[in-house]
Amino acid sequence: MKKLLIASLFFFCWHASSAQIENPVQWNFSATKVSPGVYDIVLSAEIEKPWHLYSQFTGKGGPIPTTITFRPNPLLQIAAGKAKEVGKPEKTLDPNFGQPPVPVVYFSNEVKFVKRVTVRGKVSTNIAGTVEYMVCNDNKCLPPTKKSFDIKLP
Amino acid sequence: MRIFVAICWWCFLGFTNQLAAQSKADTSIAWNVTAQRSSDTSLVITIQAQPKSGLSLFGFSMGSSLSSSLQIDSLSRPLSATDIQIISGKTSVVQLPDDTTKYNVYSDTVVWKLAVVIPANRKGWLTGNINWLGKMGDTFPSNTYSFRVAVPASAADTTTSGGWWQIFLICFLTGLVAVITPCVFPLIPVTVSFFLKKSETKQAGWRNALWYSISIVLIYTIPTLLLTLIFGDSILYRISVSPVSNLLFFLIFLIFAISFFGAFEISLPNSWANKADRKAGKGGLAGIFFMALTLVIVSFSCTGPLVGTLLGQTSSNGVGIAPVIGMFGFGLGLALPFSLLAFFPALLPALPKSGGWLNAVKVCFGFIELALALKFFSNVDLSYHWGILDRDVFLVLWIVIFGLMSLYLLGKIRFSHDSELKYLSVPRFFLALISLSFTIYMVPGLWGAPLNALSGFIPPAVTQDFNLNNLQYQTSPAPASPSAAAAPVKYTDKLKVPFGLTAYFDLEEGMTAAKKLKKPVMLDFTGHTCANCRKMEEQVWKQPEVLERLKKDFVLISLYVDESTPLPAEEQYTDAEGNFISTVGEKNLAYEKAKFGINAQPLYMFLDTNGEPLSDVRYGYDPDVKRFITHLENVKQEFNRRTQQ
Repeated sequence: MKKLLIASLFFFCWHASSAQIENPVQWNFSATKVSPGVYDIVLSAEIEKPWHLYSQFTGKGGPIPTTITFRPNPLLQIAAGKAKEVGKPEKTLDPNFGQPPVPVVYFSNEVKFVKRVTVRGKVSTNIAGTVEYMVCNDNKCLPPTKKSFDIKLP
Repeated sequence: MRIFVAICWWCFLGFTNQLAAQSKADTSIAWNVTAQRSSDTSLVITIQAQPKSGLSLFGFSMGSSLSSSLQIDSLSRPLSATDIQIISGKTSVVQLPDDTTKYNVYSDTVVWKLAVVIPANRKGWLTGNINWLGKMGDTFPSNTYSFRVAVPASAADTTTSGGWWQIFLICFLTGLVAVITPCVFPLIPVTVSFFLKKSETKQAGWRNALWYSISIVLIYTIPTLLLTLIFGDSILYRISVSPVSNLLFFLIFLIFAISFFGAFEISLPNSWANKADRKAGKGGLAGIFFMALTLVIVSFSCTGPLVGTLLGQTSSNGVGIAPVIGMFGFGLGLALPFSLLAFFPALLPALPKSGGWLNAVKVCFGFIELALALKFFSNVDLSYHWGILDRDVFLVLWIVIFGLMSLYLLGKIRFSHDSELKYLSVPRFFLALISLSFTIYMVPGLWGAPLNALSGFIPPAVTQDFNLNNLQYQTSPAPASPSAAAAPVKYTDKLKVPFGLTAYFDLEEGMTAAKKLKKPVMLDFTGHTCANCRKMEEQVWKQPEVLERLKKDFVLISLYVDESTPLPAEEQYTDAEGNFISTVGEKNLAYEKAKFGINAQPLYMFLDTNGEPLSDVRYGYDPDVKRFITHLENVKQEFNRRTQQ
C-alpha cells in the first residue's frame, strides 16, 4: 500500500511539472495603407489549439467578449462601431451561461480585428490602445488579459 | 522534477519581463502627478511633464481641436477648460500642413495645476489618463499616460453638509436638555425677571435678554473656533482619537458620574464666578455679557459632561467646523429659553417648580455618563488589544448600568441627596419604560445576538468568547474543536457559494478558520466567467459523497480571479512584474500564479493549516466524481499524517 502511495505521488510530481503559466494567444499589430491618410488597423491573433478566443459579439452573461480600446488621439478619426472580425466564428449555446443559455461566439486558430482610421492633415502619427480578451479550452479558462499596442502611421 | 519546474518558471518570468519592458518603453515624456488637499472637499492636482529633447507637447486647451486631454475617473462633475491652470512652461507655436491655426506647444518642462472637488470621506487612489499629443519633427506621436495618486486623508472624514445639520440638531437638543439640570433651571426665573424689572422699557428688556442669550452662544462657540483656527481643523479630531485623551475622557466622565451620584460637588473655582459676577454688576452690554459668563461658569458642573461628550463625539465624527457647529447648537439650546421667556413672560409661572426632580435628572445623567465613560475606555482597550472590556463584559456593565437607572427612575434606589419619592410621576414612568426596554434589548447580546442598533458603540463580536450566533456557521459538531471558527465576513455580500457550503472568499480569513477548526484547506480558484468552474460545481461538488466531505472535512476558500471589488488602499501593491494589484481578483490571480505557477481556472489545491500544499497535483477541470473523491481522501490522509507527527 505504501509503495503504491509513493508511486502515485511520484506520478503526481511528474504531472505537476507539466503545469505552467499559459499564454496561448500570439498577437500581431499592424496598419495597412488604404489611401493617403487612411489606414486599416489590424490586430491579428494566432490561437494555439485547442484554445479559443471570444468574439466582440459573444452573448451577454457568458465569457467576457474581446474589447478593443483606442486611446484618444485628436489627429485621428476612428470609424464608429466595433472592429470588423475577419475569421471563422463558431457559435454554441453553452448551458453554463445565462438562463436561457446565451449564444457564445468564438474563434479558433486565428482571427483578425480590423478598424479603419483617417489621419488629419495626412501627417504621421501613431495609434495606441489595448485589447482585452479571454480564452478557454474544453477544460479551463484563463482570466481576462489586457494587451497593449502602439502602431505607427504610416 | 521540481528543478525543472523552477527552470520553466524562470524562463517564463524572464520572457514576461521582457514583454513588460517593451510595452512600457514609452519614455518620450517624464510625467509626475501629485495631489494635495486644499480643504476638506477639494484637491489640488499638480501635473509636471518633461518631454525628451526634440519633442514638443500640446497643452490642455480643451477648446482647441488639437490638444492633449486630461480625464480623471469618478469626479463629481466633469472637468472644464477653466479648471486647468498653467503654472510654468515656455510655449512655442506649431501648425499642421492643412490648416492655418496656430497651436501652442511646450518643448521644455511644463507644470499644470487643477483643483477638483472631492468628498471629505474619499480615500485611496485617484486615477486618470493624460492623452497626450506631441510633435517630433514631422511626426505627431500620441499616447496615454495613466496616473494614480494617493488621495490624502481629509481631517473631516465622514461629515457632509447633511451631517452638519444632524450635529447641530443633536447639540441643540442637548443644550435644551442642559436647561433642566439643577445648575441652570433654578436660574431661569431669576434671570428673566431681572431683565424685565431692571430695564426701563419693555424693548430694553427684550434687547438685554437677547444679548444675554447671544453672549452665551458666543462663549461656547468662540473658544472652540479659536482652538480650531489656531491648531488647524484636525486638532479636535486628533485629540478625540488619541488613546491618551480617550483614557482621560474615561476618567473625567467617571469622576463626573460619581459627582452626579452625590459623592461630591464639582465646580469651577468660586473666585472665577465672583470676578465675573462683579463685572456683571457694572451694567450695560458688557455687564450682561459677564452675567452670561457667570451662568456658563456656575452651570459647569452640570453642563461640563454634556459639553465634553459633544466635543468628543462631534470631533470624532467629523472635524473642521463640526465641533464649532456643535458648540453653537449647544449654546443656542441653552440660551433660547432665557430669551423666549423674556418675550413671553406669561409662560414663567407655568414652568415646573424646582425640586427633587431636578436632582433625579442629575442622577440619570450620572448613569449615562458612566455608560459613556465605558465607551471611551473601550476605544483604548480595542486599540491596544488589552482585552479587558470584551463585548460580553461591556454588555454586562451596560445592562447593569441601565437596569439600575430603571430601578432609580422607579424610585427603588435612593441616593444621599435624593428626596423621598411618594408616588411615581408619569414622566418618570415613561423614562423608566424606555430605560428598562433598552436594558432588556441588550440581554440576548450576551449570547451573541448581533444587536445591530448598537453596532459601532459596543465592542465587535469577535471579542466575545461565547457566541451562539456563530453556531450556524459551524459545519459539523466538531468535537475535536470546541471553539468554532469565525464566520466568513469579507466579500460575502458579493460572492456566494452553492449547495449550502460555507466558503471564505479571503485567503487569510479562511486560513485562520482552518487553524481554529484544525481542518485541511481546499483552495478553489474560480471566476465569475469560468464555465468549467460552474460545471465542476454542478457535476462534481453537488454529488452527495463529495458535498458531505467538503462540508465535514475541509475549509473551503473560494478565490475569484476576476472579482473587481477594489482592495482597501493600504492593501494595494505593485507585484514583482510591475503590475499594480488593486482588486480582489488581481490579488487572487497573483497568488495563484506565484504559489502554484498556474493562471487557469478551475484549480483545486489543498493546503494544511500552515499553508503548505498537501499534494503537488494541480487539480483542474475533471468531471470524474470518483477521481475527485479519491483525491480528497488522499489529501485528507496526508493531512492526518502531518497532524499526528
